[in-house]
Amino acid sequence: MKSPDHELETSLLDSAHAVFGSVKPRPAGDGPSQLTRTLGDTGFLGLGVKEAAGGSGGTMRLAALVAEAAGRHAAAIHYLPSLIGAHAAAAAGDRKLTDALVAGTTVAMVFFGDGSGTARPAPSTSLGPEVFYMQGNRAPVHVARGERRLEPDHATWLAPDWFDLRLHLDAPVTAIDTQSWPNGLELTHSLTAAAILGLVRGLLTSTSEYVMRRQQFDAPIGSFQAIKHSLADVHIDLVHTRALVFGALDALDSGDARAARLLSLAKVAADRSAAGASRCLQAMGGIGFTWESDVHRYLKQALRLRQWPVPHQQLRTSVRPGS
Amino acid sequence: MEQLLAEQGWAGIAWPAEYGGRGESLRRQAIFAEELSALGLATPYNRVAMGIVGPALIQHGTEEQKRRYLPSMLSCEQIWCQGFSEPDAGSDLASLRTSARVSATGEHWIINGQKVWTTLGADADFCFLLARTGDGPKHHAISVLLVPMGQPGVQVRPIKQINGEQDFCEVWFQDAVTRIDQVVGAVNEGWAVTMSALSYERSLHLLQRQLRYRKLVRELECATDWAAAGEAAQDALVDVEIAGLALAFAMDDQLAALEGGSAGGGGLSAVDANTSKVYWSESYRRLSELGADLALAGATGSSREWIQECYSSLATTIYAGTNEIQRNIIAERGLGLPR
Repeated sequence: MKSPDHELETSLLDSAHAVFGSVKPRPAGDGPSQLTRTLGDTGFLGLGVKEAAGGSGGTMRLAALVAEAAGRHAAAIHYLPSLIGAHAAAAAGDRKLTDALVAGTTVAMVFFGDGSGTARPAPSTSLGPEVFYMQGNRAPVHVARGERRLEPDHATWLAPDWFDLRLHLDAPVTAIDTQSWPNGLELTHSLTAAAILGLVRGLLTSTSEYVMRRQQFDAPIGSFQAIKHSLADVHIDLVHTRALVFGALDALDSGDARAARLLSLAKVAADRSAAGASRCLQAMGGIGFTWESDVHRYLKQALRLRQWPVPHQQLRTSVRPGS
Repeated sequence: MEQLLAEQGWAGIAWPAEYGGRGESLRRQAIFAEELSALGLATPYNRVAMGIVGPALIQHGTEEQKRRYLPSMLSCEQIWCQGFSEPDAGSDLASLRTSARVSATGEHWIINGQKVWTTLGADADFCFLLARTGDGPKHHAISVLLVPMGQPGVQVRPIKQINGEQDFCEVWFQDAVTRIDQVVGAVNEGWAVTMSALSYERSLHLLQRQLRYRKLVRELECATDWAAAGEAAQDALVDVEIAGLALAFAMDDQLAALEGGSAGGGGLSAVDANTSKVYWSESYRRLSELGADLALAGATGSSREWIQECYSSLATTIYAGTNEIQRNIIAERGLGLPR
């Protein structure tokens, strides 16, 4: 007999796949999308945040399963910022913002600062004692005074539906210190790792379908060992990295003292798994290099999340023996 | 040691009680193996019997076969080997050519052919032999026969391996015989018998291997001067530590799935087992190579032991189906790619 937890997970995931599966790329700058509002209706944006603090309750495992589902549909970038923003806002005790983020009426981006009073552009953000989040009322995120507005070509250069951000501290931000959000970094690692796994798995699934259809030399290219072995390697890595990520999440949910290190190692492993996205592109051939296929949406998100919240090499260095 | 375990009923925890086991789940057997490993005790010597032959008999054997063979496997009084690979049938095992025909009297099978990589061949009392017994499609013309090794028609030559050990052999069968009732399952359906027995073997062996892997990582971690070892080695340790944790958590998931399994059925699916085997063996090779490198550089414990480990690890990506064959199976059955 299946446990009630298992049934809850299954029904939550069915719902998550239905919601994220409907995501369509949209131009930047339109304010919270219909998707964000739908996510608000489902309660997904408050997963793992205590109900008393304005969240939807549930474990971090559940939140990560939904983040993984978002990744599978190339929608990680639509889900993670607001989800992590809701955790940050709840930790800061900002109930009004928590409510808005959980309801999907506003969106947020979290920046991890380096303690020097500036938060670097997210891709090169370094690990530090302060965490910043900011709210927006336009764009996916409105970056306030002093910030160069996002130019449409800048946005479209990256992807049709997301873009890069730069934060200056003359913008109206709320700063959270590590005392009020002690496990913020680990929590962000876990959700980001799950999203990366979902992105690579989603891409692997669509790549597998493509290589069965695409014929060369009178055979589907997926019948060639060079393609089979390359994609099998992506699968083998995903299966094991996923076991580590969710094992670490269970440790976090159960208050295990090893959780922080396990989650850091799990994020290092997930970052490495992001390379699976470029293997999939290679198996797709030329079409994978274009906007004619969805490969670029998955790949860009996976490669970008590899460097966030802490740059990959920096995180790797921090878990070395004796460090 | 084995006899003591057998007397106390600890040798075959997931084996049926009427044949000397305890009738418990595979998971419990795995937990017991973990405890033995933690105490530094080796895996059972009669490993082919415990891993493959016993479970195959429990699932497919006749009552007479079970009563005759199972208790003596548990007590190590009778050692078993497996006759699978041949000089011309390695990765393509089903193309094996060793033949068995029924004698003129109808009382015996008469066996001719050659096997290779036969683990414990030199010590075995019996062989769990795959032989061609029909002319039909290759997967439906193979039978499993139980063949006594101590007879004039059987010759064994141990093979010295890269690590200096000799635990597998070449075996020649020249008009060797076994009784007509010594077939396991239906005649010509030995392939299916073997595959179902292997799913049990894979589960337990993978568990034991990953436990040993974690023990080696801990040893390396504690015995190494990491400042002297340098950053590249530190990074390499992070990789092998991650692999060990990932294996452990994946095994936890798989053990949960094995909760209802016993030696009479259950075990990992082939794709899950292949996925774990590839990941484990390649991680293990990296781990033992790192250990050997560090030992030779004087940064960690005994170089002799690590070099031995490193040489032994080279077999793991080849045996039990090469990793190339495993990747084909993962791509075809796991990802649905065409053959």
